Amino acid sequence: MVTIMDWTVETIKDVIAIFEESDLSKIEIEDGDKKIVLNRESAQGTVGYNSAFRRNIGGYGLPQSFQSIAKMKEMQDELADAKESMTKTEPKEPIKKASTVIGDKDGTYVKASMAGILYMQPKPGEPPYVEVGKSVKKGDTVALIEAMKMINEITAPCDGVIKEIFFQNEQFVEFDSPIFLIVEE
Amino acid sequence: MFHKILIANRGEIALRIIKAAKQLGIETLIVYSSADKDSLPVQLADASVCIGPPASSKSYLNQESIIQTAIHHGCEAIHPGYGFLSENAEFVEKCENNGLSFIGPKASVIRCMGDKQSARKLMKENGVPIVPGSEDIVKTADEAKEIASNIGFPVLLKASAGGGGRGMRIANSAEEIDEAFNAATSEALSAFGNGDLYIEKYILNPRHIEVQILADEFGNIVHLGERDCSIQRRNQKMIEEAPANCLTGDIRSYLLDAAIKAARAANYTNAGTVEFVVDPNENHYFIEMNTRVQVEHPVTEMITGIDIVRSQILIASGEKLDFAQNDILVRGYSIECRVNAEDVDRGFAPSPGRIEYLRYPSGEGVRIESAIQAGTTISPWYDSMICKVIVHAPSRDEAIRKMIFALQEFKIDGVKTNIEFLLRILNNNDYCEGKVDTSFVSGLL
Repeated sequence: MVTIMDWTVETIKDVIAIFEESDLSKIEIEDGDKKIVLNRESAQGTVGYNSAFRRNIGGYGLPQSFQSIAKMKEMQDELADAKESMTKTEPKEPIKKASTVIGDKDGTYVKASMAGILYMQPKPGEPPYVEVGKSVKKGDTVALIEAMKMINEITAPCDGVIKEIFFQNEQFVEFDSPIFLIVEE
Repeated sequence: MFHKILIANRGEIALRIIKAAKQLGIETLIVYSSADKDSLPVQLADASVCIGPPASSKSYLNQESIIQTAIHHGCEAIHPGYGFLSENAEFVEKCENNGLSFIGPKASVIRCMGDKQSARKLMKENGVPIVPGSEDIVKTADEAKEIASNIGFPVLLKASAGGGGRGMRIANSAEEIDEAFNAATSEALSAFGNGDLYIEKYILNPRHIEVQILADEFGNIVHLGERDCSIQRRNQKMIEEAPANCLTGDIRSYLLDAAIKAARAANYTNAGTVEFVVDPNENHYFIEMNTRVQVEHPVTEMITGIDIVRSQILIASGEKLDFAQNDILVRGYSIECRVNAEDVDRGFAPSPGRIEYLRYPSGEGVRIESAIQAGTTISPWYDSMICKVIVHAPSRDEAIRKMIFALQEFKIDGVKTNIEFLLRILNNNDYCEGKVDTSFVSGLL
């Protein structure tokens, strides 16, 4: 005589788990005087409704009992603690927002005409276009901004003297970021 | 899984993507134009970078600035939303060449499906029915006349590089071909930089039925059912619904299978939509494939319980779909209304302005996708859609009633909207009985 299964609680739990994950509507196991019948009832033809909650669809796992929810919370807290201690990837630098730079200053701001990397000199190693105190004429190149090899020249919108510089070489600037403050000579 | 992604879009879809990313524990950086500086997505993203002035060409379409921003700020992937760069193969290639993941299909797939004529050819080779038309690009008006006489008038001359209903002309007879050919060619050249045309039989008053596809990078492709988007005005959708109640079981199966076939033929990955037209005699034809997430994706989410934007991010990060076709079950009926800031009485002209008061509808099965709040100024720079109202109910009748109530509950002062017009459609007898096609809205006006 073939033994289909040993009739322990563990094995019966396995059978129930197998049934729940399956597509079957009924399982019947008979072994001499022992019998187990598992039957899936559908409520009023909305079989789809019931089955949806039995599948792991789109991330949603099987419904949890309240006990296992408490256990899950424990595990999640442990995982969160573990993550805290791992090094996180920091952005290269925090973004300098234009609003933190502009104050009530007299003069003309020279603003970034596009977002990208700011270069204060024509080529690496060469002297910068301008420094604080330098006189500029309208149309003079004062800086470069580059994004993916596209280079924009930033030019002085008026004559004057460079009073303040708000960014450093190779910093990322947003569109409209004030880079220089020019005042009348 | 990604740690940080860049969102290259604005408005409601930008906010949608931010929320899906945050749910997955991913940091978000949004790029924006100066016109959107005070917008809700910019406020709510973890980080934001202003990349240009209001004009799209200098901001949301500024490929170099966007990529440089992503690289400089440690973003691993870019989600393009819809519109803007979402179907720009050149941009996808730039991402690929710079080690950035593009959350969408591959450049080669976008390129292939973006060329309408080559997409038609691919479909035909793979047994997907296409609208009868030219085998290839039509080089001269005379060639057009010959093909048209074979397939029968009326015909549509369409830009191969086109989309959005532009670069298209109808010809009802051989006499109209010369004019139509020249007009379509020059519009196509100026709008898309490519004057190539192909011809299709013009299907009168069809229904617009589309199928949502999700495909991972392991060859698994599923459909999430169809949508009916026949309520359109000048090729702009106004109301979308899922499932399509007009379809008989046979045609539905046919379209769903055809969509999978189309996606497989295209080696598709990520989210996409296969569009069909179904004519009054129930003939059905492939029109094109949209290689992006679409505006109307929420109605599919409501009936299937699958988060499409979340799936997009997971797929792009290398995850397998965690469900098979048989696991996807459809529950109930969903309708979406696009609320636009427009003046219906002035030919639906955009109606920008400042929102003085806002009260959203809410409740069981009512979903809002919106980036506006009281105090938001709707600028004239971008399209006029400001908000989507979505409902989900056990049946189409209940969904319609639910939407009507939701739109009545919706209160917005300061800008004109199309809400009254949407209510006219929802209360219309033919609409309620499902007897509508793409000519319905113009019939109402």
